Amino acid sequence: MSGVPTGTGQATVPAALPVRWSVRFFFVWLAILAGLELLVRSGADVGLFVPAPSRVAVSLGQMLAGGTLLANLGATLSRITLGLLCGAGVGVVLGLAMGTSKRLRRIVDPVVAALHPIPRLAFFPLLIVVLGVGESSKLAGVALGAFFPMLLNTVAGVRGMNPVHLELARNYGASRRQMFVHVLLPGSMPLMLTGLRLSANAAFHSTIGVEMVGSRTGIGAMLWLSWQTFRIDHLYAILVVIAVIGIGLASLIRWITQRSAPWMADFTPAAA
Amino acid sequence: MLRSAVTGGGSTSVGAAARGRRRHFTCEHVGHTFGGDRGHVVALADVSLAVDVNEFVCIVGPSGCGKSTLLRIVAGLETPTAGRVRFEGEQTGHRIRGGLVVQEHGTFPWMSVVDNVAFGLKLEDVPRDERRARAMAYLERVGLAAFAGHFPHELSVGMRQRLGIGRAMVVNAPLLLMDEPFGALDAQTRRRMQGELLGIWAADRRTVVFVTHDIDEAVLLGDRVVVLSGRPGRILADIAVPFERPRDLRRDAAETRAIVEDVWRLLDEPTER
Repeated sequence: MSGVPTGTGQATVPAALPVRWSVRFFFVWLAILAGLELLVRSGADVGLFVPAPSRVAVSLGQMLAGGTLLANLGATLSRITLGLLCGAGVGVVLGLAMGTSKRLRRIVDPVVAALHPIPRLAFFPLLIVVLGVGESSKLAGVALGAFFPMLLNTVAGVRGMNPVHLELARNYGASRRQMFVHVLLPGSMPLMLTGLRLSANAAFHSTIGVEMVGSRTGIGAMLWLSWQTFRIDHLYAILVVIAVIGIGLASLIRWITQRSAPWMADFTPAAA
Repeated sequence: MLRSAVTGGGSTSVGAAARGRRRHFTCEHVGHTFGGDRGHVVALADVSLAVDVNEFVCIVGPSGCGKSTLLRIVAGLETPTAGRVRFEGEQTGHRIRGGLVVQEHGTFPWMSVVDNVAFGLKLEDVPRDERRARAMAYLERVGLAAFAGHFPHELSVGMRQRLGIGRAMVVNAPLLLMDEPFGALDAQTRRRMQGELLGIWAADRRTVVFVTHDIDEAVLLGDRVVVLSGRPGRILADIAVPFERPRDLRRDAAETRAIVEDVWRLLDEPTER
């Protein structure tokens, strides 16, 4: 079992969000941006690669006003969401099946062991060959990214159940269905939520990757286009958007985690 | 089905009352061997034991003597490789053989305190309101009513053990099987919990099989103390403790002390018998 054992024999869930919204966060970034702004305005030779933050902000505003940003953001978010739902959904179902069936585990384990180390994006050309250049190959690419972390963590969650809990349920005469619903599912929830968090991350990464390589829409495509047209200010603006998506996604997952496992409330990073 | 108190092998039980007792279950020449690729371990050998209804039986022995295994066999969680456990009369008809209370991790961390206690009732499809009412009644009895909505990690270790006891009792299983329930507690909490357990048991009699490695605890609590030898576990002695409760080993009767000394002597002897 991974994580730190607690008094209740439950694995802890690592912090869902590395960044805490704090006064410190705000001031550190304010200092960095102000420094950059001064540097650029002072006329120092910083080359082509460092635009003034104010210019980046203006570009971001224009993209937003022109509607291109929102349209592409919509495309990206829908790919992340659909890909995550499909990939993590299949991952959790197969993971539960593998966790409870030794036979299935023995068959599927070698397949997973061989495929898991391959970087997800490496599958993308093959997916295009099979599914065409349309939306389905992109979704499949994202889903594939989301699939593995969910699968592996679900299996680990079921396998890492405290045997005492299973035994107690058996002692109280739980049927197979009751065992699954009341014990196995909630008992493996901490690691399944860890899986969800990693899956969301992977879906996000895969989406940007897939969009850069083979899409005309989406934030990834915009990023790639701004390099091709050498709009450095756009490049920075889009990186800001990507950071916001990442933080938003992590916050959402943390909210879901707290909602679906209130007994783990203690283990989320405490405010100091 | 009523039976007289004629015990088979071992010894007779001398309870507080000398009236005719009803047998709860009997272990008949129970043995257990754990098999594995690297040879096997004989955990229990030829254990015969008769337990009456509402009797409080403590099982002591060195660690690894198979006392937990014996308890699991009685609970039906393990099938003995030799002999059998026979339950008398309607006791077999109950869906659950006994409410199990374990040393650690005995509560489900994802359920609130009241849901933990109501767990067995939920499995029996008892309607929600009745489930809650019955669970609350037992939470009252184990002194946790004020914590009904809390989660187990918010309780102390001692409170969690009381929760486990409440959950085992609420299902009306006639048998409580306790596997070193106070083993993880500090000495003070342990003393208090022993007293509380006796209080709960006095108010709501059940048959109790209580496994412990603490001889004082066994003599303090039990109607009988069954002493198991080191591996493989066999019954060395089956000693009646015919004294009134509550007992206190610090100042109490030399007789009680003497029983503790007897058990120590038995366990200290080389175990070739």
